[in-house]
Amino acid sequence: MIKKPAFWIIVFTLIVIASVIYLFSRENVEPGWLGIPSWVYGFIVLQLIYCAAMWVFVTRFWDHDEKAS
Amino acid sequence: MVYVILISYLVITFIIGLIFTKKPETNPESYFLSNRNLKTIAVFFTLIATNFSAFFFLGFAGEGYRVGYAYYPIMALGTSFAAISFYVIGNKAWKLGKKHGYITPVEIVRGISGNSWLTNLYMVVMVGFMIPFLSVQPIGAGLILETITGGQIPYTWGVILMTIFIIIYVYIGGMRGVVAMDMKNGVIMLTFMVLALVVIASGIGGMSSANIEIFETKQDLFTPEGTGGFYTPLRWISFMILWMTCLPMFPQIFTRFLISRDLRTFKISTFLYTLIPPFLFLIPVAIGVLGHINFPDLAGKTSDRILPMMLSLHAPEWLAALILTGALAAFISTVDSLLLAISTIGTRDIYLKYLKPEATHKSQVQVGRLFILVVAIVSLVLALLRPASIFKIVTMTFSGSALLFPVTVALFYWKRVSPAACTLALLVGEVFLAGLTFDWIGTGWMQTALPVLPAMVLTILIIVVGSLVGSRKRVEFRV
Repeated sequence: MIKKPAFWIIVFTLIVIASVIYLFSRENVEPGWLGIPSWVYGFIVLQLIYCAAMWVFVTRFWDHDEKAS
Repeated sequence: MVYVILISYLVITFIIGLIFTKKPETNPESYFLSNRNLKTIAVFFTLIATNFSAFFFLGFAGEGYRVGYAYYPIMALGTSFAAISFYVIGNKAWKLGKKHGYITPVEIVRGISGNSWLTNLYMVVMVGFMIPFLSVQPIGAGLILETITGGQIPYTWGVILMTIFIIIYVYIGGMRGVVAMDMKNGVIMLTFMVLALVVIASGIGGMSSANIEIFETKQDLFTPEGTGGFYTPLRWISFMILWMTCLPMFPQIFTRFLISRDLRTFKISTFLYTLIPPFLFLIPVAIGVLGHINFPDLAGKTSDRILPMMLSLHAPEWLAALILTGALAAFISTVDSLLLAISTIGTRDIYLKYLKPEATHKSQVQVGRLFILVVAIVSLVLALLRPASIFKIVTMTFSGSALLFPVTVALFYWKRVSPAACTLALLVGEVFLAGLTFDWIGTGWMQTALPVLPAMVLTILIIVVGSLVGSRKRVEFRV
């Protein structure tokens, strides 16, 4: 499954959808740590999830794609 | 002291350029692509330094000032996500370049499609939209020099001096010099951006208290939608699509897909690239927001100066100058790559293709250098006219480039695609985009979407329908 393009299209689309839902459902915009709103920190976590997904993509799918071609 | 720092930076930059070009370059592949032999760290830094321009230092802070923290998520995730499109385009481009010796994106399109109408239109769009973006860089340099010298170097002279400097070292160094410079500039840029936040935060008595003070009067700056609810979900998605599709279509980025020594190098560099925006992009946006403490009423393009203004106020003169060399580094590392990429296309796809097909390697390099001079002068003139805020110029030019993405993907992956349909799609897409951007066509129905979104849909539609019902001539895909 991890070697199919469709799987990655779904994964990356879900990350974008999750980001939009996360961002636009925030009601608390009070300054948090360092005065930066806490939703910013939540968003950093979302991006790190994306980075982790990208690592798997690069090491598993991309390698597979190279070998296949 | 300010001048000592500035001159030292420029002299060091120039010396590095000379060190990497002891031997005069006479081979196009070597001058334009550094012999396709760059290692992971070099490719990573040149991707970062080329991509993060003066816009990263000044435009981000300016937009942070105008819109608030809402600007961070779309820029950070949008830029990170471009790594996926780097794979989609870069992977195939690298293979094609290696196999057939292609040096420019336009040569790849010509090789695949065999259609000169499509190739020429592709070239016009790719280069045409980069000229205004190129002009953004001297604008940034002019603003920086004017601010850190307290107006002793006026904007106009700052723009002229920095353009001359860039012309000289790109002229001498070619890709090898540019990459060496990108590595140094990448480190300087990232380090000094962090230092800028530390200096400004301590100058205003800590980030926490400053943010809380701003929050009391300007809560909009702290919402995910930004000031005036600017980032609606539709606009957010539009920007996401814009960043993902336009970045790999910049000639200076596309060229980066061709210079890796192997695919593993390109792959790891692409992953490393995704790690930078989540952390680094917050800094200039936060500086922009903090600018409201000392400069609460800036309007329009004046707010692009917020970062140097804050530094001038809170850092000793020498430290402000030192940090702002980071912004100059960002400016230099984008302009040099862009100049080289455009001159490469001019040389290979105009001079060699149409004017002198029998040109020797040596004369190609010489003509490439001439193109550098011409393009730099055009961008200089545009920078002196300075028609709009940096953000507006960038959004407009990026949208035009983004429409190349569906065309390129179709050519790379769809064997049935019709080059004629791609030509029509690109032409109609760009005209439609211009109509929406300049209000020749009503835009009320778009709500808050960027013009690039409907233009992209139309372009894809024409490619698909045109290829299915039109010419049966198939694309020769030869990887």
